[in-house]
Amino acid sequence: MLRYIIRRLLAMVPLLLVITGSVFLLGQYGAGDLAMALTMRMTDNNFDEDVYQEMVKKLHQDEPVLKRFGRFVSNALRGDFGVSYVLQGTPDIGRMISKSLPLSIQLGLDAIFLVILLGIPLGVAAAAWRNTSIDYSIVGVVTILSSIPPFVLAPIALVVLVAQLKIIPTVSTGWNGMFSREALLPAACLAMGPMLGVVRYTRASVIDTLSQEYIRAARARGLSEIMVIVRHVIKNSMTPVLTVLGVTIGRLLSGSIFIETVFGIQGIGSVAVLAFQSGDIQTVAATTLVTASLVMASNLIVDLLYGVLDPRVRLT
Amino acid sequence: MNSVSASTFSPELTGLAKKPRSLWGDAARTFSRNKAGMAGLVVAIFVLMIALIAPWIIPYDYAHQDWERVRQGPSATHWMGTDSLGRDLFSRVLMGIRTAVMVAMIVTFSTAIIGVLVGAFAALVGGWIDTIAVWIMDGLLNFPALWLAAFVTVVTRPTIMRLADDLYKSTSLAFFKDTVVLDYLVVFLCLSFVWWAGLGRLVRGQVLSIREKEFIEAQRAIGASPWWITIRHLVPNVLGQVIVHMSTQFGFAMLAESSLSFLGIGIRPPGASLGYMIFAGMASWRSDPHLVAMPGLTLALIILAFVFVGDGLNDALNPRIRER
Repeated sequence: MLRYIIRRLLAMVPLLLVITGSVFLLGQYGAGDLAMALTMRMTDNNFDEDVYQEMVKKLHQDEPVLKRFGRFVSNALRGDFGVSYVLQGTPDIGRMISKSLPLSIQLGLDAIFLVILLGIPLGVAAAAWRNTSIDYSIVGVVTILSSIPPFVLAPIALVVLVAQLKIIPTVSTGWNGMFSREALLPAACLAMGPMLGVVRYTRASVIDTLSQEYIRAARARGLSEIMVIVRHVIKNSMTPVLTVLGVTIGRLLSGSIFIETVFGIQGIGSVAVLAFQSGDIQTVAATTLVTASLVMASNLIVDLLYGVLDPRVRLT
Repeated sequence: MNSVSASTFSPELTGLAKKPRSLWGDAARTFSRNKAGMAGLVVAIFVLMIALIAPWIIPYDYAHQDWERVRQGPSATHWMGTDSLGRDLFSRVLMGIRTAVMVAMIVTFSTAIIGVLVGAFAALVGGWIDTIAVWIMDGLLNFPALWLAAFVTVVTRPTIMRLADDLYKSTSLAFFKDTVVLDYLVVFLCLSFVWWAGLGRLVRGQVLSIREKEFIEAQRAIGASPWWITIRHLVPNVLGQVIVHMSTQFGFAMLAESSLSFLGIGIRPPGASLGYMIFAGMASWRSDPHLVAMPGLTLALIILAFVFVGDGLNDALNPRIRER
């Protein structure tokens, strides 16, 4: 197991290099000269040599590229992304992220709970009653809800549930903790996107498991169908589902941008949107790097869990 | 002797006399039995037609502001109502579809070309080129796609604007001054940059696995040249997967354009985009839900149609997967 873990960690090194490298290159050179771009912004397109030189010094652009890349990586590891020269009051980017990220993670965790608590039972149910109207209606409804993009689903949910039916009394903007009642609607809207993948994979995997010999043996022993599914099928069909959950994290992070915008939650998505709209390259680069690292970390966790659940994986 | 063997293996006896069934014929038959897929196809074709003829069928000028009729609900004169500037929402939605289809068209084809070339090249050449290609593709796929697309947009927009400005000064063509055209350019560029990796990895995997199959080995054994094998066997076998991928990607590319526009970094006014319409409608979702619902439901319907078409094609062109 230790060898497996080490191998997986080593396999991540090139990936990390490509990701930090591309963020560094895009951020520093994508817009031509970053110092020049910032100078033009600060001086309203009237180029000022002094401001430019100061900017070059601040961004350490007079140093060789590799040294700057090293500095970028070691600073990023300590959560230091410098300050934003575009946003008002030149806020510290690292602090903005550390303040907003917990909200996004809580929202994401809520959504993952919902995906697991709803998606897996629905998938199992669809498989247990496969090719019946129950199966078709589960897959059909989930397909439709999943295909509606989050920035359409959330407003429609607001219009229907809050404005028309008044099922949910008020929508307070902002975030009141991950177990508050207000968190349910945003988390549900966020969970809908990845739900389809989980339902489908669970369904396919359960159907696959149901055709195994040991299931027939369990039935032959006289176990009821429910007991067969609860005792033998679910656990044995969860490994493929894990893969999908891993992919889910990336989708949740992308979806979170819209949900946070619509519901006014001050998470990392809101920070990013502000940066997108004001063309703040540094903050956008920092948030992109942080989210990509989150995706990578979750992929690693999924890989390791895979190794725990399925010993065969460790040997390949 | 000759006549005996001929009759033994004659088509009538072996049952091969029926019309030969091709992959595509089979696929078309399977697909036509898939109800959701056919419904999706009908909607998708309808959408493509609307995109093609939108400027000539819209009942009102999509940018015309009628201050007498601001924020009206759906009616006989304005089928989807009017927005906060009194513009006809139906006309704007049709033009928004045109925008999304145009972006999706260009992005899908450019990513297909890049993805197939890089994926096939990496698999066929192998060695360190393959390793680096895999690193780059895996790296790109580990970013949350939308986030990376937004990043590339933010970074490239000033450069492209500056370039266009220079070109305008030197050529004085009005084309380079048109911000809508530049918005399109930025969106094409960034979506293509982000999206080719999925297809690249798919093609690489397919080429690698098919190359090891017995029928390719048999071809090699009878002395077929690598070119013949590539054109005659690898391409047709990979093509099915590529087409399935492109058809689902097309819907998602339309969605991506709307997403970027919703965030205010895609197609911006005066261009018409479904995403921007939803964003603008959000300002008053309580009092005028139709401003959000009309473009929103249109977009959802289109995405759904393309998802169904992709699923149907997947079942039809990859029969082995269907059995699961």
